[in-house]
Amino acid sequence: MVIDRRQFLVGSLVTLAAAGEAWASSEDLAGAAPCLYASGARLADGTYAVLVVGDDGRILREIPMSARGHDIAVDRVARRAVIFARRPGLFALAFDVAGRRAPEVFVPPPDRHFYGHGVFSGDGRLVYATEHDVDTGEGVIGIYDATGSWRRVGEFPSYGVGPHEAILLSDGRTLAVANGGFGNDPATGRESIGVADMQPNVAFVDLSTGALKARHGVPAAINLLSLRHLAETPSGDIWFGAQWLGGLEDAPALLGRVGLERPIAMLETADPMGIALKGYIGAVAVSGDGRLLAASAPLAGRIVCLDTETGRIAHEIAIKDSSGITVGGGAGEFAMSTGEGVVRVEDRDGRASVREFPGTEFDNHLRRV
Amino acid sequence: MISVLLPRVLRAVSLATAMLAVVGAPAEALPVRKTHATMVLDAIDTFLLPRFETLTETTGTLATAVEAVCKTGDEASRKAARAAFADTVRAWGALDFIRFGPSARAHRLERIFFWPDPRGFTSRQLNALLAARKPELIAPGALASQSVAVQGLTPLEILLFDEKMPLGSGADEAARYRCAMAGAMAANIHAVAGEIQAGWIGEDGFRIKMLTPGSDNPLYKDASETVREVLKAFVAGIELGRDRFILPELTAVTATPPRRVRLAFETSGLTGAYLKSSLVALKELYEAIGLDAYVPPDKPWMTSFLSTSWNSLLADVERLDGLRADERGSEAHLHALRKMRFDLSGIRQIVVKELAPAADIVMGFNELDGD
Repeated sequence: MVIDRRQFLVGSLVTLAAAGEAWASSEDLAGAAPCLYASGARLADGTYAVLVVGDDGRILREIPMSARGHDIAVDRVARRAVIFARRPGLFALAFDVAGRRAPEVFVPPPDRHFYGHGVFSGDGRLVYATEHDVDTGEGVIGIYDATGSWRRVGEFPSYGVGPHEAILLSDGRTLAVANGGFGNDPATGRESIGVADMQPNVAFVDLSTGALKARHGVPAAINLLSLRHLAETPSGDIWFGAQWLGGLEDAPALLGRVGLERPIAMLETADPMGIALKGYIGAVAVSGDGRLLAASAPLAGRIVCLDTETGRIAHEIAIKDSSGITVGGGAGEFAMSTGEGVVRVEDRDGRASVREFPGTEFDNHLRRV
Repeated sequence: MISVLLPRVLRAVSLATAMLAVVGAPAEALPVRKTHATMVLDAIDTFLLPRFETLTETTGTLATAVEAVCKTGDEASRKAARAAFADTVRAWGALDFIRFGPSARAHRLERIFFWPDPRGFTSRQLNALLAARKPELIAPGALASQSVAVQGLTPLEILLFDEKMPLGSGADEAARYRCAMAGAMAANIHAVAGEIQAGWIGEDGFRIKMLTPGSDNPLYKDASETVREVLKAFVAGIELGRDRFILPELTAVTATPPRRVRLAFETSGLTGAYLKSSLVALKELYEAIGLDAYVPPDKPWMTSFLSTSWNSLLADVERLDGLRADERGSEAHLHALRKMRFDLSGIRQIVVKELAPAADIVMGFNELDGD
């Protein structure tokens, strides 16, 4: 295991040294600074990288990676970010959005792997990563020093199996963790373990103590509904997007709300969305004004936008293989990325700007940086 | 029955193909480029349904054979049961990458074969089950409500291939219960196989659901969606072969110091047989879909590359068990593993990036392997 990780690490550094790092300064651009977005991607030559792109269509940074990345944790104050390798992930890469410092790679301990998501603490001094304890199969949150060393300084339980996305709530003290319910073993790659006995939940964890504040699961009848992605509205609702691991015919609703003191409430719509969205939500995001939730459904080629107050569908966007979704620059604006190399920014009235990056396949998550 | 149920468009395609044959093919006959609907029809009727039928037959034989072991307790019956187990493993190897339709419901995949099991969940649960010795659990159908880990091939392999306590050999209550439990497992596997097969056939079956996509079909809107389902299963099979067998072994033998890794069906010595069965089936599914016809005219080398890769995979898998047993970690063993990884990756790459797009089948980056 140690050797495997070292190879990953060395692989990343060698790639960096050989290929260098392509980047352009956003200050080069005339006029107003563009909105910047970051995403993992597969490039035309089949290699992987994390890209920082502007909504003007420019690629500002391209940092090679030795394997596929997943989501990106963003420290908005210091303008830096960390991309995590996707599950079972064996590295994370920290980079400065403006390219002022060289990227740094850090790895989980030998008996842990990343699940592809993480989040900075409010003060930017720590990074919390969702991880898997290979020996016990339990989920943990690994804590990494983000002040310079990227050393792992501790961990606490995720209070479930297969923690996927974790978000820092607006109180700055609570981590909401989507425990997907199934595990992975690095030996067998991405194959899911223990699906039949899944008990997915959203756990709320006190960051100062690592103690569980609350945990809400799904009904036993839909235990194959893996809760995976989270977004918080300004009013404190936590929306989640799920993936159904059973037969498509049995797919239940995939979106729902939960709160620290409110159990899970699935979003039941007049036309059931579980089957129509092919049982799969790739990512969720709340608009800047908090009024809309966007959920990507790449298997169905759709993004669904909901009114966060009423839960009603506000509108839908037809877009092929789109998974990455994040808040855009305007109040009701979302940016979305696709496996076909498109970054599309669209407001609530359907006004869209589309940027194409030929040969680039954007990975599951897009973040505004 | 097929002609009755065949959608009109398929009949038109078949007619066009037949007319072409009558009128006369060009001097250099090109392979027929199937429509999406025909790809799906052929995948179901020539690949899936016959294999589900075989699975039901082999599991039926297995259930009878294990029952015979418990009645006679002799070596000949154990041998017959082990042979039936091997046939079932082969039959399942040809199907376990089909992870849509009836297989995906009611935990059927795991109820037939619970794997991976990195923490030995099956052994622990099985030991607890045998220690508790509850008579109600060996009643017909009772096992179906227990943990999926103790229902299928994984625990049955432990009982059937236990050399220290040969199944059916003891006369005490514990030995009789062990055998009855093995019988319950075999019966359960047969029942699940029957459920999957039944789920495909009939007017409400999954076959008809896949062959009649449309606005009134909640599962599939058009044939581009159904053909994508089939091709995704093919890709899943390639990845299963790589992730369950090749990569774990390669990682373990190249570690410093080399490690051991538990592979599927090692106890019964059927690891290679299972993988071979999967690879043979994948090649046949590939042929049933007919993707060779979509090799781009400017890349004719792909045809021979694919053919060579399939042949190489099937040759290497024949040697894999022997290499693992006799010279684990040797250059020859590593070479075979690396070559298989290369061939699996090559086939996957060409199918996903070249042939599928040429056949107008979109296999999106996120769609194919999201998270």
